[in-house]
Amino acid sequence: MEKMEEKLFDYLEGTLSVGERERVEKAIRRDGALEKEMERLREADALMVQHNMPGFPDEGFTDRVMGRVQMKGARAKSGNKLIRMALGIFGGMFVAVLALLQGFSETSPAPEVQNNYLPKLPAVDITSLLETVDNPALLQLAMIVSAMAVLLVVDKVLSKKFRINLPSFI
Amino acid sequence: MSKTEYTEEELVSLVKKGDASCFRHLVDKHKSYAYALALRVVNNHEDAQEVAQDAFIKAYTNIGAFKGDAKFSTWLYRIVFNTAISRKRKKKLAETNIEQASGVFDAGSLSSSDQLSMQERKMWINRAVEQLPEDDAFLITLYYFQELTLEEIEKITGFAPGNVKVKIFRARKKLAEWLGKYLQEEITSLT
Repeated sequence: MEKMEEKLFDYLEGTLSVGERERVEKAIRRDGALEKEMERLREADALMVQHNMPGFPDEGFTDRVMGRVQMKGARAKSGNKLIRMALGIFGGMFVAVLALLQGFSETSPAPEVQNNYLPKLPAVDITSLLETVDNPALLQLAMIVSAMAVLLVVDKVLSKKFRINLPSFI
Repeated sequence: MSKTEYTEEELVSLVKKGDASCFRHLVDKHKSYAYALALRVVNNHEDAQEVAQDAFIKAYTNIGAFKGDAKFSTWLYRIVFNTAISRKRKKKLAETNIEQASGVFDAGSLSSSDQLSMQERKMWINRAVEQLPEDDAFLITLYYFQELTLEEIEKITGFAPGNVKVKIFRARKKLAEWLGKYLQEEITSLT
């Protein structure tokens, strides 16, 4: 049954070989009901080809899609911006804390921390550097400012190089 | 070179690189087809518009996943199909039947002397297609677009090769029966 339907499909498409087409035509001529059915199919085909497309009624469709596309882009951008800003702030705070701890150790002895579970931060020895300048506080400030500047540059470079599309819930 | 002169592959590649404005040309080119396909599944103008819109947004969001080994339209219509099916399942849209339709438009008035307008013929065709199961209606719409090969239709619908031919053939038979019933005089006058 399916084979026959496939054959009839190919016959209507005009993709059968000459021999096969003749065989199918013979079978159709022998079967009055089939002949009528094929005729009806051809007629319906003509009608469908003419009227298959329902009218597309909305002129503003493209604008609405593009509006949503832009909103998605803006949301992703503002999401990226927020994350970068948060990273910048955390980075700046981290550097500031490091610098302040260093300054604190310059003026008073470091407190004995007995908590063994505290992670050990990498030791930054800047004492020799501090000894060469008159005002260590100014050096610390300069370090913070340069660290922030480096973060800003890294942020700019990364945002240009990698366009990260964050999920829309951000 | 204006953006309208770009090929579809070039437009897709530009969208992938971040030029969202190129997506407008892809939307303009495929919106009628996307809408027509969605309408065949959801049978409702508002839902069809939303499905088509959602499908375009999904296509834009996932354009990076489009490898270009098929036509953009093949990939897009697959998204339309999946979006429409899931929307239909969610909403469980009530299906009309031809008997209900005939209550609105009296089939008895279709005598040989009646001249059906283009709009009326379209309406009857839409109603006949609506009687088909959703995947058959989708399939038959794709088929009569006449721009896709059977292999492309297989890719879009996920039906097995061979199965597509049989399904299309059977859907055409059903359609022909319904159309023959209501538009017999009109069909005869066309051929």
